[in-house]
Formats: sequence, structure tokens, C-alpha cells
Amino acid sequence: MSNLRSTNSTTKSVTSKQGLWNFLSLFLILGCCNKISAQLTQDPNKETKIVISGARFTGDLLKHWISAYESANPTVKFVLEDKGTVEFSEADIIIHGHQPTKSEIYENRSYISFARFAVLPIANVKSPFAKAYGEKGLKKSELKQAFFFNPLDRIDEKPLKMEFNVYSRIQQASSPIVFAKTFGYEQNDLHGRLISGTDHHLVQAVSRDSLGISYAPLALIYDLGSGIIKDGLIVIPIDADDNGKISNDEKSYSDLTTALSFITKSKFKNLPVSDIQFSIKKQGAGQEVNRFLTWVFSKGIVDLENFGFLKLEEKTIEQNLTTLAKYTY
Amino acid sequence: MKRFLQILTLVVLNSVSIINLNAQIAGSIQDNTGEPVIGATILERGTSNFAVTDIDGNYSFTPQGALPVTLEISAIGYFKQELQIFEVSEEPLDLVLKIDNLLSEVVVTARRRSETAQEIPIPITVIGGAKVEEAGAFNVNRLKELVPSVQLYSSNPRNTGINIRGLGSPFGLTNDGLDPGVGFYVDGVYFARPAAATLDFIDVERIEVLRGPQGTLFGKNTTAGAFNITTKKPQFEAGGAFEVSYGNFGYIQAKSTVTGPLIKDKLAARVSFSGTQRDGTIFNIAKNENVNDINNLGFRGQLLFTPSDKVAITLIGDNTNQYPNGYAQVVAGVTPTLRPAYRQFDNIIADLGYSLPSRNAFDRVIDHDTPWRSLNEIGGLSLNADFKLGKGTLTSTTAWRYWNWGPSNDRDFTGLQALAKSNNPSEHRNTSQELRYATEINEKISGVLGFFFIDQEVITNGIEESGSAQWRFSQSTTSALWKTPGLLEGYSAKTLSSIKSQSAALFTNIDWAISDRLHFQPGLRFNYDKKDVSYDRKASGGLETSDPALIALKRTVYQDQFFTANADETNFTYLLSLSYKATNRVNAYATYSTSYKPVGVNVAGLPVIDGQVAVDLGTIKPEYVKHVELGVKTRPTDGLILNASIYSTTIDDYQTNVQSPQIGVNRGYIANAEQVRVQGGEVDLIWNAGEYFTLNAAVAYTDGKYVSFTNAPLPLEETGLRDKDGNQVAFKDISGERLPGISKWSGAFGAEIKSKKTSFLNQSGNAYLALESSFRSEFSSSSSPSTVLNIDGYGLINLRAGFRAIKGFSIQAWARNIANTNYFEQLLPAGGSAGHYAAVLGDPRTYGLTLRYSF
Repeated sequence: MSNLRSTNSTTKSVTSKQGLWNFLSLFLILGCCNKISAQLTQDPNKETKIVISGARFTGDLLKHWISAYESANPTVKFVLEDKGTVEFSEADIIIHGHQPTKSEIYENRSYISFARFAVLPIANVKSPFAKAYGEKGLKKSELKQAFFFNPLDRIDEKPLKMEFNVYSRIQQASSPIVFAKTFGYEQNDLHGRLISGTDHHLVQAVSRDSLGISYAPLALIYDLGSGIIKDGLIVIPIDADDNGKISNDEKSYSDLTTALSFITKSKFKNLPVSDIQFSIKKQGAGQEVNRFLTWVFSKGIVDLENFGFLKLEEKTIEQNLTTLAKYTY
Repeated sequence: MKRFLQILTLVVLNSVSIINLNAQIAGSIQDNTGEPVIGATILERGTSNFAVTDIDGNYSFTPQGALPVTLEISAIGYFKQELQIFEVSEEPLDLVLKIDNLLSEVVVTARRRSETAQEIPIPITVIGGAKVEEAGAFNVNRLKELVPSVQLYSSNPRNTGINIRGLGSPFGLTNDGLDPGVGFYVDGVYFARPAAATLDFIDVERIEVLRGPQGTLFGKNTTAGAFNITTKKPQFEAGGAFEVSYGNFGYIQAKSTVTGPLIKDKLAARVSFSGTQRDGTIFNIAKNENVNDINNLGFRGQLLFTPSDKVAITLIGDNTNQYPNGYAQVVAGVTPTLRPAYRQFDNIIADLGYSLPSRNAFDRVIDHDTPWRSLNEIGGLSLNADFKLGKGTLTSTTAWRYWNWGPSNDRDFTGLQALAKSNNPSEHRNTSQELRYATEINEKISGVLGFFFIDQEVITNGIEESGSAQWRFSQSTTSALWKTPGLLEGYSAKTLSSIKSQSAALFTNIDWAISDRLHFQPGLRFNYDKKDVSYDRKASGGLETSDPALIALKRTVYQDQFFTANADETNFTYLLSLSYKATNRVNAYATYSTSYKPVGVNVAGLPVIDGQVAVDLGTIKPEYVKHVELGVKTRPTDGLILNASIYSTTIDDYQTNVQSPQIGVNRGYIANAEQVRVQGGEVDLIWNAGEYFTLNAAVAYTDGKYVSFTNAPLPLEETGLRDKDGNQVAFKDISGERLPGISKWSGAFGAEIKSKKTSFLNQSGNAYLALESSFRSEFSSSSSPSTVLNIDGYGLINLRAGFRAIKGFSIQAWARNIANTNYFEQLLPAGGSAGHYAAVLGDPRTYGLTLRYSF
């Protein structure tokens, strides 16, 4: 009896395995068919969501692009997430205003530049600092004295002899990182009063404080409508070519167009300028993300200067478009 | 419906706002070496809302106010960091506090611009307000324990002299006809009366003690140095502190200060009060009461008006009253003089059937019959305006100040009615104006240019009156006429004196950066001084007699004296200073400067020499000071400051106070010594050894000599000296002898150890234990070197321990002079030079408790 039961049991077992394989094969076949079918018969009205996070100083430009893209592609909806509210690895697109640090680089993401931006020192127009340096500009050593923490052993600079309050960001952010790195420092070396907020709040703090000085991207220094410097602010020229003198060219910040023109043609090491990059999720980001980015490189970039950003070279743009075309999702 | 939606929208927005307000922020705090900062305090400005970082440097905090709010993050040993929260994000707010390697890099305004103390080529000691308060150094007399180069001698508020390195005011009783050589400035206002040095400090932010002549920096005389006191300013954010102390001898001290805005960002006020009471430390058996008590009340009110960011105007009013039953001096000894035996003190009192209640001054017992009283009232109004003009700041300081002095003294220091009254109540009024422009001319040159004017008048309406026993003290012959009943009883000299003076000065001080390391700092001063004095003494009372012999006797005690004198003087002085910053840790300097102390006038009676009033002593010449100094300021390692200087100050026509044996000039008179010189060296050390231990030490060596003083008065024990022909000698040559009031060695040592940040009664703060000690070696207490009027060296130790809260309640237990050391602060010969002398006694051991609440 026991042997018979055993034989039957073996037979059942073999039958079950075959059934399972058959079921799996069928499932796979159906699954493939379904995917193919879905791709072939995709619902053009189905909404696609793209999550974007990162550098907030690009906010106005991004909103402009989203608005234009959504008009042309009504099924695509963008979600702008504040930095910190979404994991870096989760957003479809993250915008970096600075070269991502090791901790910001993820293997599952691709990085591609789409614009450049400049960060300039600013001061309250009524401040003694503005009066002292608004016209004549800051030499590198003076800029270091003004903005960066001076440990005891730094003896190469003289202290500045006027009252001023430096405002800086507490959160790691592109503007302070780019500004500090240009002069050989880290963001934490910037001294003064810290701001928990955005670059916009830095500008706001400087405007409110008659002793205030800080740094900001062009997009926040100039009124994007008129192209002139926002009320209460002044751009402090810097010795961009580090030759110890500040020429008239180096004071070309009267309006946004002039500033962009000067910065675009310059390759000066003392000008805080950095690429702005998209960080794209390699897996899980849909074709729509690629389409949007392709749209940015082909159409969106015409708006860059209107929003205070610098264009990349044509050659770089073409390379980036080629790179984008290679991405598969 | 629409309205409903609007309301709903508002409610929702407000809800969002409330959520934002109450959202918690969190993060960690590290230092710039990457180490977590434990116990850092995160305080929301304008509130008592705070949090403290944990052992990993982490914190969480919920702001109370509407955004944006300002947080102040502080930890001992780190630079304070300000953080403005514009929006609360979920991202951690991690921040880095920078290690403060320059903990004692105190910013000072001694050169009329903000600089660090280590940068300026001036030997300077800076004491912060917190140290002043905690060390109980509530007036200059106590402050001297912290700064060994400072000497203060005060037998009462009028007779107060502040000296730095032994120079400034002549030793002994104050003569209004002399200007002090140590400038006393409070918030830029010159306090003309030395009596100000006896007042309680109110709301002090910082005290800067500058050593050596500073005439090219300050409006009025600073031939020996200056006290530059800065008080706390009105704030545009509400705050305040209350403090009360209790101690033995019935000690109670209460202080309060409140500040806040009256008009946002435009007008702020600060009101401060200080009151101190303590029972006397000396017992008067004749009156069965303790004397030498403390009874001080002080008030200070300030309004700060900032109509624009270029203008700041501060109106300050202050009034301080002292009503002590005090300043009694105790007989400290009796010395034989060279007078005949019948004129010796012991024989005099034996004849009068009197004996001293004690011959040991430290029994602290007296039997004085004339009450001691020292009504001292000082106050004034000042208006300080800072205008940002061009590259610099124009400062105008206008001040009106007053001093009312109402004394009663027993200057025979006994229970006898000898010198029954010796009271010289005075009123002093002064108006001053200083205009100063401090600017940076270019990157290489900065400086200050100033103009100063002061108009002063002192009126004294005094009385000296003999009592029933005075005849015996005045008896200068063996004539029986002296015993004539009532001869001198009630015999008095009433004096009306006035001194009017005007001073004007133009001064400038430049800092020229020849290179980044080498600075040349020249200064110039042009000075004008004018003084007019009127002295009218009328003798009256005593026995009404027409007997010429008796009248003659009376005239040996008091006689009419009238004189007027005037003097004016212009002079020009300069400063040359070179400093070299060899490295960022070493700053060396060399200074040569000249200075004048204005012409002096006698307003306390003139001696009678050979039967004639010495009217030629009515005015005395100005002092001319030549000063050379070499110094080095170093920071050998982080947290350690070590400064040293050597100097030599030579004064031609040194203005000195001369005690006369004549009873009619019992306040002494002033005269010029041909030349004196003070030389010495000083070493100062401050060591912040990590976060929890600080140490400070200062040592001063001071050698002061009369280079030439051939016409000096006789010391007490030589009173009655006659030459070989039997003629009385009034003067002697003391050239080469030491100057009074100067200890060759003096020092101060302090240390504080504190706990990590801890909690006490739900307050966050530090527990601490601190010690302050001071010592000085033996010194002379007589204008002319004496064998008896010398004060032994002594040392004092003070201890304090407590809990210092960041905000809220702090508590401190303290003990001063814990060894209960007996010491003299000053010895003074009694009027008439009978041979006895009295002492100003130092305080015995005191102890108590201080509670402080700040918000």
C-alpha cells in the first residue's frame, strides 16, 4: 500500500510540475503579448507624471518650460518636489547647479548638462560695503576677507575696515558651493549669518539689511522683466581675471544682457560659473522624460538668457542630444 | 458663498502658517574639525525659547515666532552663529560652528574705532561687563584688584586719586586746582571729578584700561592713562536682567536693567538701576554705631534714536548718590616727631586726659566725636551723535555734568574736640563738547581728528573749626596763654573758594600702514588751558579778645587769607609709534610720546613761610611728560595671549601734594617737584585652556623715583626739624627717593574652571568655580619718604562659585578676602602733625550670594 501510494504520489508530482511550467509559459507569453499590445495600443489620453527636484534657483525657468511643454503635451503632468522631500534616487529628474558630489552621484542615474549659471557678490545698495566696493570692485583677497571665515593663521589679507553682514545658506546648495569653490573654499567656510531658505531669501535678507552682503545667481539679482538689477541691490564687481586690477569690462553688470554677454565671453577663473545638470533616473523614467529633455535641448534652451542663465556651446548641445537619444528606459 | 470661501481660504492659509510656525527643525552641529559640538545652545532671539545639542551634537527645535525668526547658536569656545529661518524644510539644518581661537581677541574702541586689543600698539587691559559683575568689581576700587597697574587711593570720594603706573594724581588729599592725569571716560563723556571713581558701575559692557599717555586720542588729560568705559546700549529687542546680592555686614545690592524698542527700529530705551547697602565695618564706641557703611543709589537712562542707517543719537542721563555714614579713618600709629616733648601726641592727649580706644587699627574701633559723612552726588546729561559722513564717522559728544559734595570729617581722628569741623562742601559743574571724525582716508591711512572743549567751575564753601582741645594740639610754645579758657574753642576759618577753568584741545592720531606688517602711528595734540582761582578765608570766633598776645596765638592757627591767581598755558605734544607685525602671532611696538598736564592752582590755602603767605605757590607749572615704551603682543598658541611691555616715563615739574604741618593748610597745598621718573615692566597672560578652563595673570614691576625734588616737605616724623643754627626747617631734598603709592611689585591672578553645559532648575548653563587674587609689595604712603608712613605688602584672595545660566536664573556664592587679611590702603598724617596718623582700612572678609535673572 505504501508503495502504491508512493507511485501515485510521484505521478501527481510530475503532473503538477508540468502544469506549473505550462502555466508560467502561458503567463510569460500572455505578458509579452500584453506589453506589445499595450505599446501598440497606448492610450493617448493616459496621464504621465514626471517628478522634478533640485536647484530651486532654476524655478522660474523650469515653470516656464513645464507650462510650455504641458500645453503641447496635455497628458504630461509635472510635479516639482522640494529638495529634501524626495529622495535623490526617486525623482525622475534632479537639477544640479554644481558638479554633484560623490554622495550626490547615483549609479542608477545619468547626468547631462543643459545650461550654465553665474553667481555674483551682491550688497545692499545703501551699505558701506557697496559704497566702498560697488564701483571699484573687489580683489580676490578682499573678497576672501569679506565672505570667508578667516582663521588665525591666514595672514595674507588685511581685514576690511567697514561694517557689513554676510548672509549665506545653511543648506548645501548650488550657489554657495559654486561661489565658495571658485575661490578655493567649501560652503562651510562662508561666514556670517545663515539663512534657512532659498537663494531668494538671501536676496531678501540683503535687501532688508543696510549692512547686508551676499551672493546670488543672476536669475535672482536681476528683474527678469526689465533686465535691470532689483531695487536695493548692487552687484559688486570682482577681479575676474585675477590680475590685481578691475577693468571696466569686469564691471559689466549694469543689466542682465550686459552681464550675460560679459560672462559668456569670459573664461575667467575668478568668476563663479558652473554647469547646470539634469540627473535622470536610468530605470523607471519613461520615454516621456526623454521626450521632455529632448524638447528642452531643442526648444527650451532659447529661453535660457531671458531667465538669467548662460547657454552651453552649440557643440555641447548637439552632443547632449545624441547622448539623450541613446538612453533607453 | 464667496465670502465663506474667502474665510475658508484665510483659515486654511493661517493653518498652514501655524503649521509652519510650529514645525520642528532639526539637525546637527559640528565644529570645523568635524567634531560634534555638545551643549551648544540654540536660542530664538527675543524669546527664552531654546534647545541644547545632545552628546552627538544633534538638536531639534520648534520656533515660537512668526517666520522669519532668528536663532542664535552659541557654545563656549566657538564663534556665535546667527541663523535666520525663512522657511522650515524637512531637510536637516546641519551647521558648523567655527572654533574661536581668539577668545580674548576683544574688540576695543580705545583708538576711537573698533579694533582688536592685540592689534593696537597700546598696553591695554580689557575687562568685560560679565567679569566686572561676577567678580564684584562694581567700582574702580575693586577693579584695581584685577589690573595691577591701577592704583586707587580714596580716603573719601573727594579725596580720590586714580593712578596708573603710579602716576596721575598726587598722593594724599585731592586739590581741586590740579587736573587728574588719568582720564575717566564713560561712553565718550569725560568725568572730570575723581569722585566718579568711587561710584558703582552701572550696566557696564566693557572697561578698557589704557596705560601710558594717550593725549592724542582723548579730549581731556590722559597723561598717565585712561579708563574708557562703555556701557550697554539700548536694544531694539526686549531684554533685561535683575540681580540681587546678599552678604555679611548686611550687604544688599540690587541691580536691574531693562531695554527694548519704543518705536520699531527707530527708538529704543534702556533703564538701569543699581543700589548697594552695607553696614559699617568700623565701630564708633562714642556713638554706639557702625560707620563706614555703603549706601549707594544709581540710575542711568538711555534713549537711542536711529532716524536712518547713517545716524545714531544717544541721550543719556545718570544720577548716582552716595549717603554713607562713612570714610572714617582709624588711628594706625603714633610717631615721635622732632618737636619738643610737650608737642608729642602722647603727651598732648595725656594732658587732656584722653586715651585712644585702641592702638590697633585692625580692632576697627574709633571714638570720633565729629560725625563722618560723605554725601556724594554725581550725575549729568549727555548727547552722543554718530553721523556716517563720507568714509568715516563724525561723532559729537555734548555733556553737562554736576557733582555735589557734602562732607563732615573728624580730621583729628580722635574723640577729642580738637579739629571739631573740617568740612569743605563743594559744587562742581562742567560742560564739555567733543567733536571727532574717525575715517579711513585710503587703504593705507586711517585716523581720528578731534576737538574738545570743557568749561568747569568748582565752588567750595568750607569751614575748619577748632574745638575745646585744639589749643593743646596747636600749642607751639610753653606760654601759659595757650591755656586761656575758650581761646580757640569755636575759632574757625570759613573759606569761599572757586576755580574756573577752560580747556580746549585739538588732537589727531593717524595709522599709516607702510606695509601690511609695518604701521606708523603718529599723533599730535594742541592744548589750551586757562584757570582762574579765587580764595577767601576769614577767621572768626574763639575768644573775643583785644589782647595782642592772644590774638597772635589765634593767628598761628587760622588767619585771614585772600588771594586770586590765574594762569593760562598753551602747549603742543606729540606721539610717535611704530608697530611691526612680525607674524600673525607677534605684534611689536615702540612708542615715544610727550604730554602736558595743565597748569595747577592752589585752592586749599597756602602755607605761611617766614610770616608771609607763600602766594608764589598760588599757581604751579604744568607737568611735562616724556614717555617711551617698548611692547610686544603675542599669541604663542591658540587660546594663549602673552603681552609684555617696558616703559620709562619722565615728568618735569611733577605736580605733587604737600602736607603742611600748619593747621591752616590742613588739606595740603600743591607744588612742583623738579623731576620724577617711573620705569617698569608689565607682563599679561590670558590662557583659554580648552573649553572649560581659563587663566589670567598679570605682573607689574614699577619703580618710581623723585629724580630731583630739592624743596620737598618734611615727612611726619621729621616735623619740627631745626638746622644747626636752631632755625626751623620746612623743606628737605628727597632727590633719588621713591614716589609714594607705588609698589615695586604688584600682580593679579585669576582662574576659572567650568562644567560642561548642564541643567540646573531647568536652566541650561555652566557651573563654575573661580578664583581671583591680587598682591602688592610694600609702598610709601607719604609724599616725602617716611620711616613710618609705609604700608606693608599684602595679598587678597577672592573665590566665587555658581551656576551661570544662558538665560534665566544664575546663582553665585562669593567670598572676598577669604583669608581675612588685615591691610591698609592708605596712611594719612593727622592735621597739625602732632605725630599720630590714621589709616584707610581695607575691607575684612565678606561673603554672600548673588541671584541674577536675565531674559
